[in-house]
This record gives sequence, C-alpha cells and structure tokens, in this order.
Amino acid sequence: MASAIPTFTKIGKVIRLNKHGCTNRPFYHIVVQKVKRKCYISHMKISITLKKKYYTRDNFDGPVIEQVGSYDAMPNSQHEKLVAVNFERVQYWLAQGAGMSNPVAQLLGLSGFLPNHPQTLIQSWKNRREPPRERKLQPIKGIAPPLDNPKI
Amino acid sequence: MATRAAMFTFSKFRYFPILKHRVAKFSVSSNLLNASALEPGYSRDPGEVFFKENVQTLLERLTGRDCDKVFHNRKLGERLEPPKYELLTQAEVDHVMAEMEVKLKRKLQMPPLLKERDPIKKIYSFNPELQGFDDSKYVFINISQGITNRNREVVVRDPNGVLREASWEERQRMCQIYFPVPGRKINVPKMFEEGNIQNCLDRDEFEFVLDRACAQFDPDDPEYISVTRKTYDFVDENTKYTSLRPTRHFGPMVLHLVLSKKMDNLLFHFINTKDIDAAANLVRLFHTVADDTSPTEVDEFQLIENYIQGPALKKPALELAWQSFLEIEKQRREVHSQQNNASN
Repeated sequence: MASAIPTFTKIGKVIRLNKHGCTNRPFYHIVVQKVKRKCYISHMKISITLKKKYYTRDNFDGPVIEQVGSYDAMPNSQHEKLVAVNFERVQYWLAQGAGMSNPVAQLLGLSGFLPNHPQTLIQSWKNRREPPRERKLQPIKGIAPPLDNPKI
Repeated sequence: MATRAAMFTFSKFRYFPILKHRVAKFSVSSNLLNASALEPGYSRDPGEVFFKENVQTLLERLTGRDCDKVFHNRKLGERLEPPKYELLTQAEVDHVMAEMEVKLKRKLQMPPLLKERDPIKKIYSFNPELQGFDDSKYVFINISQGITNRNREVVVRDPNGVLREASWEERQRMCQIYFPVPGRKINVPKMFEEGNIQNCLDRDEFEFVLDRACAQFDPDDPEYISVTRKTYDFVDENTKYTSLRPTRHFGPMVLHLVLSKKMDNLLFHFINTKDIDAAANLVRLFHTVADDTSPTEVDEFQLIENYIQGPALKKPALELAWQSFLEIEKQRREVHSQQNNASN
C-alpha cells in the first residue's frame, strides 16, 4: 500500500459505515457506496442556514454497491464488539481505488489488516489522560438505572 | 543480582531470559496436557489408531447393520409419516437397495476419536499505545467465501492493545454466529454441564446425548471428549450396549473401551448373547490396537480362549461364561448330529 490512509475522492467509491439498528442500539453495515459531493435541496425556498440543516447525504449518495461486513457497536454479554469483514472484497475495492471513511480505516487498523490509524492513537492517548465522562446519576436500588443521557 | 532484578521490574519487555524458559515449557506442555487428558488409562493418541484401515473395518463389522434401528423415526419436532408400500420390479428393488446402502453408510459414519486440541496462543502484535481506546475487546472475523470454518481468520484486539488469534471457544462462537451449523447453539447448552448430563444418562438417553454432542462440538474439543467418555463409561458400567449397538457411536465407544483396557464387560456381553463373530472381532481389534498384529488363529473359539487365558482382566467371570457357552454349544451339536442320524 502506498499510503496508510487512502485519499477520499469527491466522486468515487467509498468503503464506509452505514448506520442501521435503532435508538440506543447502533449497528453498522460496512458497505461500498458511490459518493457524490454534499448537495443541498436547492428547490426549497428557505434560508441557506435551514437548507444546511435539511441536507441529506443519503439521497445524493448512490445505492449500496456491496455490503462488505458489519460492525456491532454494542458490546455483548462477553464484552466483545463483533466486526465481520470480507477482507478479500475489501482488498479488491481498495485496489480499484475506493476510499475509506475514518471509522472504517480505524476498524481495519485495529484488526491488523491496515496499520494503526493515527486517530486511534490520539483517542487512546486522550482517554488515558482524561477518562471519558462518567454518569453523574447513581442508580437507586430497586429502580431501573437511568438511560445514558450526557446532558443530565 | 540486584541490578538484574531492577532491570526486570522496570522494563519487562526488554528483559528476555524468562521468555526462554517459557518457550521451553510450551514445547513440552503439549505432552503434559495430553497426559492429563489421557488419565483414564489411554497410553496413546487415539487419533492415530482410529484412522487405520484394519481398525475401521473391524469397527464397522462390530457395529453391524440393523436397518430397522438405523432408520428409526427420530423425535425432532418434524411431522412423522407412515411407511409407504410400493410394488416394484426386481431391477427397481435393486436400485432402491443401492440407494439405501449409500444412506446407511452415511448414517453409520463414525465420529472420530481424537486427542484434545492444544489451546491457541498466537499473538500477532502488541500495541500498548492503544490502551484506553475502548473498554471492550474487538473480535474480527473474515467472512470471505471459499474458506472452511476451521481455517477462517478470527482475531481479537484486547483493551490492553494485544492483537491475538481468537481462542477456540471465541472462534467457535463467532463461526456459529456468522456461518451457523444446524443443531448447534452459540453458547454451550446447559445439558452438557456436570449434573445435567448425569440426569440424561440415568434416563438411558445415550444416543441423544452423543448425537447432540456431535452437533454441538468439534471432535477434538475437550468438552466433546469429556462428554463422550462419560457416556461410554456409563454405558460400559451398566452394560447397556444394545441401545447403542446399531448406531454410529458404537465404533468409537468400542475403541475407547479397548484403549482404556475396559473391554472385558463387552466381551462378556457378546459371549452371553452368543454373538461369537462379534466377540472374535473384538479380540482381533484388541490385538490390532495393542501390538498392531493380526492374530494367526483362524478358529474363532481358539482366539477367544487364548484371550481369556492371556490378556483378559476379568478372568473369573469370563471363564465361567465361556465354559457355560461351550457346554451349550456341545449340547446343541449333539442334538443336531442326533437329528441328522435320525433323518438318515
């Protein structure tokens, strides 16, 4: 591989995470998709700030060309996060010039397929310096613990 | 000495003499593991013995082929159909019999007897700089087509930054999640725990336990080996061989008993039920396994007698049974010869 982090072309194929699952339960498909640049919904007669709020990436991205894996972001009962990757196809698409999004590059770095992503190292260092924010509410005995709400 | 100790505490990863000792231990430890697994009297690797051609033919002959019992209706939650009666020509009957032979062979294919597998200990990389990235470990599985589950790459990144190959349990769980095998659960069923297995065996459900163990585990899984050995030993102690006789589990059971030197109960059972062919085959198997020799006696009676006089462990019971069998044989032959004389 020429570089550890492949370049992200504006129009081209990208290997990225598509979020599925539901509220409080993220589940990602690792997909190969054709990506165009960000588009605003130009026909709507509203201010540009509101348009920026309403732009959707999904409408202007191509359909999923191929699903190449999955990533379960919720740890299971054995405290594992399961990642399934079809490395053979990932290799093919990378050879065809597909780009990779940041999270996918990080995941593949963790798996050993690619070298460790610098973002992973930066995040680890930050977490060690200052642990991620803890819950402020303590669970009361007999009542179910509150949902993870960082605003409380 | 003091400086060496100090070096060790400050930079564990640069000081390697202790590693050499560990490497030596690993190369020897496989034998130690086998020794503990082979406690119940096994002197050798069962895998080497099981796959020999002569051993396989002997085990097949011992299992026999009781078609009614092999193809009996199993309670699997499916709808049972009543038997069909058809009128066929001889050629069609032969064709159907040939098909049945193939099916019979498949149903009677014996699950192998192997030694316990060594635990996986391979580490790909050690990245302490990744500590703190996440609390949970990441398990990666390669879902490419064209590789068997045994060869599939399953890799774990621990929270301490170590990238290692997944252990056998993790690997089996992951393969079952993404490439499910029918009849296998992701987590080990509670039936295979200590107290619960005994419960099943007390109810004489040997075939069920063994079939489920076959579906759930690989043959070199330590759990599979312990479950099957427990079942075989229980069957042997209570001499309930008839329920397992026509199944695919009879062969491995017999080999287990021969290897752990417990075949006398089985021989006793064969003599009592007057199954001399099976008794002779069992003695031949014993000789094949023990010295890799095929005994020279052609006469089966002589073969069995030599075994009872020689290597048998439960001599009194076997001699008694053998003597009573010989008397019955003699009487039967006398009656037969009298009948022949009378007819002549």
